[in-house]
Amino acid sequence: MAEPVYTAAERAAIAFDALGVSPSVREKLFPSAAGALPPDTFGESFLRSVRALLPREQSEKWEESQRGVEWFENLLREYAARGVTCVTRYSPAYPAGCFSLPEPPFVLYCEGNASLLSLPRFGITGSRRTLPQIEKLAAEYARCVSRKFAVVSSSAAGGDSAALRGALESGRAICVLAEGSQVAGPACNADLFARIRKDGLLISEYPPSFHAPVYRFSARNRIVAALSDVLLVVSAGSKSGTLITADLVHKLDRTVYAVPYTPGVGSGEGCNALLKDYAKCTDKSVDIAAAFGINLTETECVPLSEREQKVLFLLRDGPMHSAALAEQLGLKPQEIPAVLTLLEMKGKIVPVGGNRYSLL
Amino acid sequence: MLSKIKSISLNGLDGVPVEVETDINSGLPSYELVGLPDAAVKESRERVRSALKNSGKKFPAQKITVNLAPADLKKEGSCFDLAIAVGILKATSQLTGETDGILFLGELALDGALRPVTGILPLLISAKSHGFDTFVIPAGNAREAAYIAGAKTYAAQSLTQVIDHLSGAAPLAPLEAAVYRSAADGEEKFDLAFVKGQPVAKRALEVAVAGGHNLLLVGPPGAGKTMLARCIPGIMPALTFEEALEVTKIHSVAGLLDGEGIVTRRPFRTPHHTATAVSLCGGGSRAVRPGEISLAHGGVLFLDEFPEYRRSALEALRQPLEDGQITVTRSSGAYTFPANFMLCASMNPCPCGNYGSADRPCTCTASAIHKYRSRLSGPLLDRIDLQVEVDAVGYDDLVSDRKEESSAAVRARVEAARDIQRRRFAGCAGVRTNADMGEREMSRFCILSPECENLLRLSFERLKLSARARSRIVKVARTVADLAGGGGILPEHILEAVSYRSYDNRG
Repeated sequence: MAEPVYTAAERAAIAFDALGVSPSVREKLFPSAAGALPPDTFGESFLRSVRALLPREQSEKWEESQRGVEWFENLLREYAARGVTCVTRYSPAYPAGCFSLPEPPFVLYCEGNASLLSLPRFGITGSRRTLPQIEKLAAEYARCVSRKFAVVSSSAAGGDSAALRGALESGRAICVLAEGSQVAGPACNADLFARIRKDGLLISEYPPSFHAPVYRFSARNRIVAALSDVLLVVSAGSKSGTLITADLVHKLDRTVYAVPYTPGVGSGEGCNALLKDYAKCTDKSVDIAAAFGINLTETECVPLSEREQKVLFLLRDGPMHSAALAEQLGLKPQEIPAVLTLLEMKGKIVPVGGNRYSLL
Repeated sequence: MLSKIKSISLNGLDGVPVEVETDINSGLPSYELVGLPDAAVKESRERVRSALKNSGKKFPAQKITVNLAPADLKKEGSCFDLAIAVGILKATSQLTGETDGILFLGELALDGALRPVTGILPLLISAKSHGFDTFVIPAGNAREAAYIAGAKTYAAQSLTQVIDHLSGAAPLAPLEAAVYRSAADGEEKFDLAFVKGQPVAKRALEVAVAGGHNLLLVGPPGAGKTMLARCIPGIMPALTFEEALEVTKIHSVAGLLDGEGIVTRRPFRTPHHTATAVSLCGGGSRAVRPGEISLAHGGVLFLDEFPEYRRSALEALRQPLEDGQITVTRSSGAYTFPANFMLCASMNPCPCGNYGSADRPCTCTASAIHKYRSRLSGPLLDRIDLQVEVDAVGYDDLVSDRKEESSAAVRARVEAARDIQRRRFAGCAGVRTNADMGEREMSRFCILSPECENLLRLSFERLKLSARARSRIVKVARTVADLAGGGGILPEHILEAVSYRSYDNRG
């Protein structure tokens, strides 16, 4: 891979990140107009003038470490070797939505297929505690919209990673991390990160090996919001961080969709609140496909036996236990697993734990 | 004068013949015991001295040398007391009568009574294979020894009885051979008839036992996982005499027989989750004892709260699960114990236990659940063919008086399926059940129709199963087909087998 070429302003932004210069100092140093720095500004003299602006303690530490231009060039080479591209505020590829954020990130560290940023982007988000059937639904939505959009979501377990897994089938998955891309968690998604690194795109506002404090984790939501041209909320509790994302997207004057829930379902209270407020309602991927002109001709019609149709009919009133289904269908206990497994393979039902099944 | 008396020492599950040589010389009174005795053997001096005195015999006030040959084998335990006492009597000419070709075993009490020793069954079986056929043993071991066919076994209450028997003053009658009767004919203490509801889990139990598959029960606390597991021995085929002898040998060595002559029920062992690898596999610094997996030989090893066991203990199970035996190696040698057991494990679905529950919400985060489940390594889960969810039983189910099927009825079906397998694997060495099948047997006996093959491929794509699961699904499908009469594998058999792999498709 060719090493990316950065302008002086971009280099300065990357260097400040690596040096841990606080945002307030940066704002002082940089005029708000992007790329206003002349190309030859970045050098030893520039670094010295920056050092002068820092608090004394920090400045002395920096001087001791003898980090100069050479150290920085090595750093850039290291990033390039890891396949990390830096998109800074002064880069043309910087997503426009980010400027309207509180604290727009100086640099977005992108690992993977950075060209995904040029596609229109569809955000799909859900809380960590998402029902199994809704996780499947999120994946289904992601599959559907990834025909036209790149799917944006965060690295959190639950609804977010379910959507990313769905989108990965076409490779159009953009995952916003809470920490540096080499150290990001949660561990249960390690396989997902590896696949996205290969086919999709990992984005973080921190350098690759940076451990962010836990209280900064929810800050990634603002990047998800800025990157999403449209947002779909598949699940959200009443105080879910997902709602922050939705509000930010709404403030950017973009469309927010939400999945409706039965009253009393904790992981859906936030969704229902969004629907009352400003969100549009959707309960099938077909809604979205129709609204954005996505062609769904490829979906196959799976033939169902009479017995299978009866199972689907029985499940319309909510999840049921396999023993109860067997009784309703007049089957012996050993005959019901075959029926249910086949329906699961056909993508019509999903096990929700404890031998209970739900419609998808 | 010199005397030579035969006895036998326990080495793992085998006996090694030991010759007790006693030499009495004139000189200062002393007692020297040589031949690598451990503390219990050394202490025999005091027991023998008192027992002789209290049986009306003299302990010679001369220089006594007792050698336990072979001299390089470590001797342990109290089973040589009788042989040493008889040897001293013989060497001092206080005993008349023939002792050649007779094997003596027993611990002496101070009053001259004989106390039972552990490991009688394996000791006598191996003594027989070494050419002995006359044994004198403590009366307390009589029930166990009665199962040794074709031997003259005399059970004595005391040293006096032994002396009188040998001298011909009051000969004992040899033990009558006992007839083996399996306990499976009676009612089970833990019977499936008492387990309400749980049709899915009961069916899985039946499939697992029919094909010799290992089983993982996943369910919230109080769902009845332990109750179900305890029912497994009752639906397993009855112990045959050969199996019973093998199980009894192990239990005899471990001293667990508790007065019973022979083990007639399949064992059910539940080691606590603090168990170490050594306690599971067997070992010990002095004498090597069989571990829990060997004590479960022929029966069920139930590991409750599976993920709570130490990693090292769980990983140690992998090799015996494959081989059906365990070889424990110590500086004193390598000991092989049989360990062909059915593993039944149980666990909660998540740390709080409520994941998937209909009425209690789960409070665990996704990563907490992931961490909990990943305590079980892939290679270990690979050896567990069936994974089923057990759900909490509702109140209505508990009080309903619907008649549940009894263990005996299930066992009848299991035995029919096992019969089919016995005939099928008649020519295959080392394969007794479907679970034992290797690639060669599978390509012979598990031929899938194109329809089944397609279904299997589809299930891997759609349900995201790991490729390793394939052979296990096919084996379980074979068992399901055997339960249905032993014909070819049909699509519904494949589908049922797939439904028992629910813990494989996450991630």
